Amino acid sequence: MSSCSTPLADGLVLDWWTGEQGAAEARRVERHLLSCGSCAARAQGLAAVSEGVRALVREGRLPAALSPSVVERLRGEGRRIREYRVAPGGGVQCTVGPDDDVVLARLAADFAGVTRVDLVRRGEDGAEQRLADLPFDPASGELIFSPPVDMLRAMPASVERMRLIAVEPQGERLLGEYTFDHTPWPGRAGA
Amino acid sequence: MESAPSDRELAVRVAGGDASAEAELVRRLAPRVRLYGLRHLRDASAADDLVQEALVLTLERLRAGRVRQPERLASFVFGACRLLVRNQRRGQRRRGALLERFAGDLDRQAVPDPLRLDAKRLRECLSRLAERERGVLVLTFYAEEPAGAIAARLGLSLDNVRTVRHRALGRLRQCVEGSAA
Repeated sequence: MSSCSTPLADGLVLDWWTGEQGAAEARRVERHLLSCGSCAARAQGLAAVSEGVRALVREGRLPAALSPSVVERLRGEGRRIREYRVAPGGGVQCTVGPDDDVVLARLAADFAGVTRVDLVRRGEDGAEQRLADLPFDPASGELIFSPPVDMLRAMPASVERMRLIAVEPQGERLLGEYTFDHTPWPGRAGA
Repeated sequence: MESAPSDRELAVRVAGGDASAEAELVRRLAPRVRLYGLRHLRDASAADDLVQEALVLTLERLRAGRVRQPERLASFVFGACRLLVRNQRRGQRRRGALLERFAGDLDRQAVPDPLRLDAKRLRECLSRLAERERGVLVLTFYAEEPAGAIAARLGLSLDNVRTVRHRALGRLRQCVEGSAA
């Protein structure tokens, strides 16, 4: 592929893709992308990442803390969502159905004054996984975590404990502990 | 080494009835038009329709000698894309008369398959990002929230969001391309 004498900066291409630039600038970028093979190839790479992320979120296969806006979009797209709302100190019996696209753990907590939250997941074998500095919306009063559905489907009956921890300059503070008593869907592997 | 013909050279050869030039032009332009379609229509099948419509229109005009400035082929394609996307947005998804007449002339074999990433690899690479980086990418690409809205939602500065996003994409690209362990 021929090289480009005036390559577009990555940030400019990203702003074009996300629609974060004015109409005149967007037109300039588009004309360039239609005439330049090397810049178009870079932009296609970005588009492929974008498409890939969308598909993984839609299929509930990406472990991630989700915002309420993402959940609403999933609902708007007709995705089947199974959700468990748990208060601090609470627990829930949970599973994943064959038709579920996305499973959500909605962990309620008081985030007043909190700037950083970590989630610690503890399996039945005692092994812990710490997810540091999760993105969260302080005003929502909950952290929404989406574990990958394919991994949940492969899980045997087991208990997982989650802890939300506020990380503050003076130390760490427990915001809540939540228990998920998982049972495989009847007839599924591990049931 | 022989250099690839320019868009202008290809356009002139298409006007002269050169079928191999048509195939090369389709190979070259299809991914670019699809990119434009994905950006504006956010739908893969609608973007594929745009590729077909825009290329049929372009080839038909070139064959008929109706692209007066072949060196400005990209501008012609850009104009066609804008018009067709506007029509699609107005709900005119039915195949146009031009497409009905000329779709059979388009060498579909020449249209390259769209670039798709291996989903398993992408998930692995996304899982290696910091939680905040992954969250910002989800808000950007799935929720389609601009950096300003993400900043307000997460209590970050606009510059911080843009930096996190830029860094995350760089790390993701390295990982997907296999250059990061």
